[in-house]
Amino acid sequence: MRAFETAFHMQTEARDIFDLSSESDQTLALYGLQRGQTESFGWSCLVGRRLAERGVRFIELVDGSSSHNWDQHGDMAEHAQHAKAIDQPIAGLLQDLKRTGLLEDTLVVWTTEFGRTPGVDGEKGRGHHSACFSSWLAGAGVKGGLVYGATDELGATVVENRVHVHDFHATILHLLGLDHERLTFRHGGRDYRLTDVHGHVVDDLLA
Amino acid sequence: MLQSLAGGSLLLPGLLSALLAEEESSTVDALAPKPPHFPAKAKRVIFIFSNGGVSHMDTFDHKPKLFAADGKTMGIGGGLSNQQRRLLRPGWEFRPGGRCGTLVSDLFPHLRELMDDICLIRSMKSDDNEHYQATLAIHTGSFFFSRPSIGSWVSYGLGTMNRNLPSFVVLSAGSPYAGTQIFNNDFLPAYHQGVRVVPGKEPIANLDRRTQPASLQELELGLANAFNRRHL
Repeated sequence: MRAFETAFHMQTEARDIFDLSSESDQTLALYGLQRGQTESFGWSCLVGRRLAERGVRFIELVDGSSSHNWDQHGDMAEHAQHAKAIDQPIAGLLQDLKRTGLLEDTLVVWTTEFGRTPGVDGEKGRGHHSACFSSWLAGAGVKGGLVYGATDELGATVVENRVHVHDFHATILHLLGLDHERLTFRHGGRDYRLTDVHGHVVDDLLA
Repeated sequence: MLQSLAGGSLLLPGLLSALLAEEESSTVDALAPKPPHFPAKAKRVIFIFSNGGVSHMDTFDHKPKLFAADGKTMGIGGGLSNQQRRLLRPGWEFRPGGRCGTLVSDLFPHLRELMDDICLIRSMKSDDNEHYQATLAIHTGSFFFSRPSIGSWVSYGLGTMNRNLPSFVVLSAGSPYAGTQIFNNDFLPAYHQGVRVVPGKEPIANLDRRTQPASLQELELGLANAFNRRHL
């Protein structure tokens, strides 16, 4: 019944979220949007801000899909079109959140599932590489301008301050005031956590 | 919560009485805002996920020696999946951004200007070289089994600030690796599931009522609720 109830309310409030007519030309331009445009990653980013200011707790913006994405095995040059699709929209989102004061209490996370190999794959591409990759955090509670951790000289492996996926999760929860070891749910006879039995908060990232 | 909404006449009277009865009968309002374990600045998260595996050495992780080593074949340890391949130089130049001067490639000229606001991690590590498993893991912490998404955990931990909207919303044009599992509640209660919005003219399917008068829908919901209470 909770879900039905929420759906009932969404019929009024959700419609308003997707109506971008009240946004100024200047704001649309920040996200690289034309007036009336309802697609592109810029649209997702702007709607993301509108969801954030209306109190939605967790907003995920998915860039690409399982069939159209950054998986450049054959030619790295294709990274350019994927970067172009998200660079200005995400930068616009950060600037807009800052301008409206939302960045004060909003955590922005950017990540991917893994990095790519220093060695070639196919003709001019790179392969899958879970040994190291880059991600970033911005906004509430994190140190801006910081670079944390390092890979070796070819970007093949982590050599300094490794941040495993579980550490990343523990840190995000910590930034929200949640202890990843205490956020548990009892299921099938035992307590489960997002970080399972792993995870350390990376204190050096905290402002 | 419902009492206050009634004051603002957001709920129709008939539905309201039914829901109030339900609220009184349940012991906990699971989506009510909950205090965190300890004080924190961040109240919400915008989590941006790039599908497919973004090359670190072509974007945020400057590797001058890799530019120089282009074409050389080297044995490289540390979990490299193709150890004896020819090295490939990064395809874009790196330049400093912001006052901090962090080097970012020409793939991200706009974000580069904002590096003073960004906390960059160049030492991320995952455990699986396949898209499906690694995508599932960055969202759920689990590489192989369906588990609740981080968004569902946050919704479970903190509740929501606006009961007119889901606590967890996902904007996704296409289907990501691992599909809906990346925003699934799994064993957490269903109201912590991510609600998918598809960019386009109809971002949420079936948002319009089948029957225009809200009173008809109210009757339907009232009936469903009555059945639900009998079932409980």
